[in-house]
Amino acid sequence: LKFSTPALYIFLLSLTLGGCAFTQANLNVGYDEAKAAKGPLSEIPSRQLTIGEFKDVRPERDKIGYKRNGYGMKTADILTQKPVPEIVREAVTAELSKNGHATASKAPELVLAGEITTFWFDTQINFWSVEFMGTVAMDLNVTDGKTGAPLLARKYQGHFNEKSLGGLDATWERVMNAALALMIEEMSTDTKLLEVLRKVEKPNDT
Amino acid sequence: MGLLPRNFRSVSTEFIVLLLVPTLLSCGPVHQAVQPAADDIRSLTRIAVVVPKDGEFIVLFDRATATVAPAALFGLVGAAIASGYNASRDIEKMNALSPHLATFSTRATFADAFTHALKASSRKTDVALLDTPPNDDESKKFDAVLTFDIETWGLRLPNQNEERLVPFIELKTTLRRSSDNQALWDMHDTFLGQKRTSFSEYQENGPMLRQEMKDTVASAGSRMAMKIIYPRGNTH
Repeated sequence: LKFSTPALYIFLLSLTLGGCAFTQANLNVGYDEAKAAKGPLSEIPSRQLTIGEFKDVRPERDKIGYKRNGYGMKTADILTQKPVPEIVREAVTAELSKNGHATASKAPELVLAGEITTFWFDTQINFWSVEFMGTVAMDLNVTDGKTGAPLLARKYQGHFNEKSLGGLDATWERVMNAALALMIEEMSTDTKLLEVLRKVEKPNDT
Repeated sequence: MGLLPRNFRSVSTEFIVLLLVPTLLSCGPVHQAVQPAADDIRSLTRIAVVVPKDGEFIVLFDRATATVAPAALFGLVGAAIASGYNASRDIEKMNALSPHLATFSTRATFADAFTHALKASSRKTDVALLDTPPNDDESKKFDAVLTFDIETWGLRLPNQNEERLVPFIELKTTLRRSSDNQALWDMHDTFLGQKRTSFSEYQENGPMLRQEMKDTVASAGSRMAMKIIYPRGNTH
């Protein structure tokens, strides 16, 4: 096969514009409530909880990543359909309610809130493949529902990467959903969090 | 091809081929991960755990920010030169950090954390830690063989917006049931550490590097044990 100059230009152009590089991506990222698993959290008696605010403290809060062309240049933003704090708060709520805990209690025994430190999608272009990387991390703070005293501060992180020959929005969504699920899995199997939930005194305990 | 302008007809074949290549690249096979399922794991009482090797220590810094620009501008030779240059810069960094990690064993750290987490749980599983994968006869003594193949570990850029490095460990996990050779767990995972630190800080502070690597690898071992203790997959 003999390539002529116009063909080469078209090829380079197709690589540059590949995947609509200049249009924003709007990913439907979220924790699949149906997949929320019953785990060690369900072995603890049902607790009255309030899921408080999850502040977005990421350095860049208006996006979750950049589309880049083959030369590494940023060409468009990658966004989520729902705000990131809402995605994380819903994921935490889903996991706890699936495991039998009340998550919107008016007289909570514990309040769970936190800060989102990372929610980022990135790609790394290798010679023959592309690596898609999603990282989600939060600082979770557990406080006493009555006194507001801090009881626990923990960091959780989920990272997922997938090497493949290529992929667009659906792949990116899958990578971010997997990273989010891994972070929630780390939270729900954390022995320190389980210990705090187990120890909590009922409001009418003396 | 009658719809194409005259000067495009001459390149139409090449055009189609060249357009198809990047398009078809998106059709590559996707590895189907298998997560351990509660019913499958419950039936296993004796598991052989194998962590065959320490894996390769690497630093992914210059290679992590590589683009296809050299290939586009200078072809395959340009790409090969750029790739070699980036790799050599990363190897320099690896060589600078290696002395700090001389006696560090990912295998031992990972295996300790995994078995410790498993023993601390209420799960009653008889776990035998093996140095090498069991042969067919030996495998029959166990309900399943769990292999953690540590591929790489070290430091990498967490993303292209970040200039600080993060410790990581990348491993492939397989759990095969001895009775039917069914893969009950087949996943590829990468675990990152919690902290981000510059290369120069790691270079100057060996104990910190060592501790952060240890924390990351041990955390990966504990999280893998949690996947056995609290399985989240679907039954096979």
